[in-house]
Amino acid sequence: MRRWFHGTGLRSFLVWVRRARTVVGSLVAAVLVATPQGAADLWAPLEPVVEFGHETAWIWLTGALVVGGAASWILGSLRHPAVWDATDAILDEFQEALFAKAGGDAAHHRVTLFKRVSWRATFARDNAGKLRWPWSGWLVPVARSGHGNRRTGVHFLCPDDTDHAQGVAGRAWARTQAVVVDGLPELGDSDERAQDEIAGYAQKTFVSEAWVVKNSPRARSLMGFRVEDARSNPWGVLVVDSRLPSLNIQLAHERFNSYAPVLARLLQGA
Amino acid sequence: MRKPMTQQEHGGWIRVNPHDYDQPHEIGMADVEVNVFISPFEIPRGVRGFYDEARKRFMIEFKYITREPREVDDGGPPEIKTLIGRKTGRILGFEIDVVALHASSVSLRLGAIDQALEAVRSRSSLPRRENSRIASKVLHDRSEELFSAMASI
Repeated sequence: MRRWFHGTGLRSFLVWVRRARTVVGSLVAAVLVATPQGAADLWAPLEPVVEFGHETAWIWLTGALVVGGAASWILGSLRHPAVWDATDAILDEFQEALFAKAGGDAAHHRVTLFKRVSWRATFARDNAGKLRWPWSGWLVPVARSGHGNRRTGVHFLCPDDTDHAQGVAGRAWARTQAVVVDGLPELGDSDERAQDEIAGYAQKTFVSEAWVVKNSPRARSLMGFRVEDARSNPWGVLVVDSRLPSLNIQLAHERFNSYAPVLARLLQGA
Repeated sequence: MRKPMTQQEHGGWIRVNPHDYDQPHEIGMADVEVNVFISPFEIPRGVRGFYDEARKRFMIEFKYITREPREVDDGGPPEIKTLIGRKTGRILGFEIDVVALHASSVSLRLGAIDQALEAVRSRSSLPRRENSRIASKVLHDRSEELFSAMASI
C-alpha cells in the first residue's frame, strides 16, 4: 500500500531530518564563533576540528538549509497520521455496518480506499491489450478496513481516456454514479479455473483476463464510489468487495451518504 | 427534551434528503448489466432562496458536500443567469431578475428556470445532466418554500 509514502514512515524520517538540521546549524554556529587558537588552548585536538569547520561551514549551512527546508516543506504537505487513523476508523465502521451479520472471516468483506495518482512505477496492458506507461494514471490503495488485511498491491489502470479505466474502481472513477456489480462467479483455486470462468469474471468486473489470473480475485460482489476532496477535486474511489453474492445496496448507500462529507474534509490535500 | 428538527436550517437553508433523489437503477456498461445510483456528491444537501439587495436579484442557491468557485452561464432566458461549479459543472444556483421576468406565478418562474437548465444541459456531458435533472427536481419539490421570499418583493 502507498501508506508509507503518504503517512507515518516518511513522516518520522522527515521529522528526524528536521531535527538533524537544527543540531548541524547549532554546531556550525558554535565552531564559527570559536578561533583555532582559543580551541587549542582549551583542548589541543579541537584546533584542527575548528579549522575544518571554518573552511567547510558554508557547505554544512547550505546543506542544512536546503535539506531541512525540503523536509519541512514535505512535512507541511503530508497529512498528519491522525488523519489516516480517522480514515481507517471510517472504513472499519463502514465494513462493520455492512457485514456485521454476514458471518465468516472479516477479511472476506473489505472496504478499500484507492487514491488516483498520475504516476506509478509500473507498466501494464489495458483491457484492449495496449501497453500503458507509468504516467498513464492509476488507482492505488491507501487505506483498508480491518487489521489483518491492510497489505495489498492491487492497483487499477485509470487513464484520462476513462473508457479504458480498469475494474469497478476505474468505472466508478469515470462516473458521477456509484457502480455495483454482484452475482459474480466463485473462482476456484488457480489450477481448477476454467478459461470461460476467468473470461466471464474479467468481463463483468471490467478487467483483463491476465489481471484475473495475476490477482486471483475472490470477491463475488463489488461496489465503487468516487470520492472528492472538500474543494470538489476528484480524489479517488472507495471500493466495497465481498465474498457474498450480493450487497445491501440501500444500506451501503445510506452509510456512504453519512461518511462522504467527513471523508471529503479528511482527504483535502492528502 | 430535544427540540424537534425543522426543515429550515440556519442561514435559510432548506434541508434536502438525498435518498429522495437517488434510487438505484440498472444500466448496461460495456455489455455488462450493473446497478448504479447517483453519487451523494452530486445531490444538493440544501437549497435556499433570498433577495439580494446589492444585486437587485432573487438568488437561489444549492449547497453540496463540497465547495468550489462558481461561474455564470447566461445561455438561457435573459432574466436568469445559472451559477455553475467551475470544477465540476454542477448547478450551484440561479440569479433571477424578478422585475424583468414578469412571472407572477410559481409555475411560470419554474418554467423559466427549467429553460435556463435546459440551455446548460444541452452543452453538458451525460454525467452533468444527472446533476441538473436533480437540481430541477429539488426546485420543483421545494418551489413553494423557495419562492415565498419572492412574494414580498
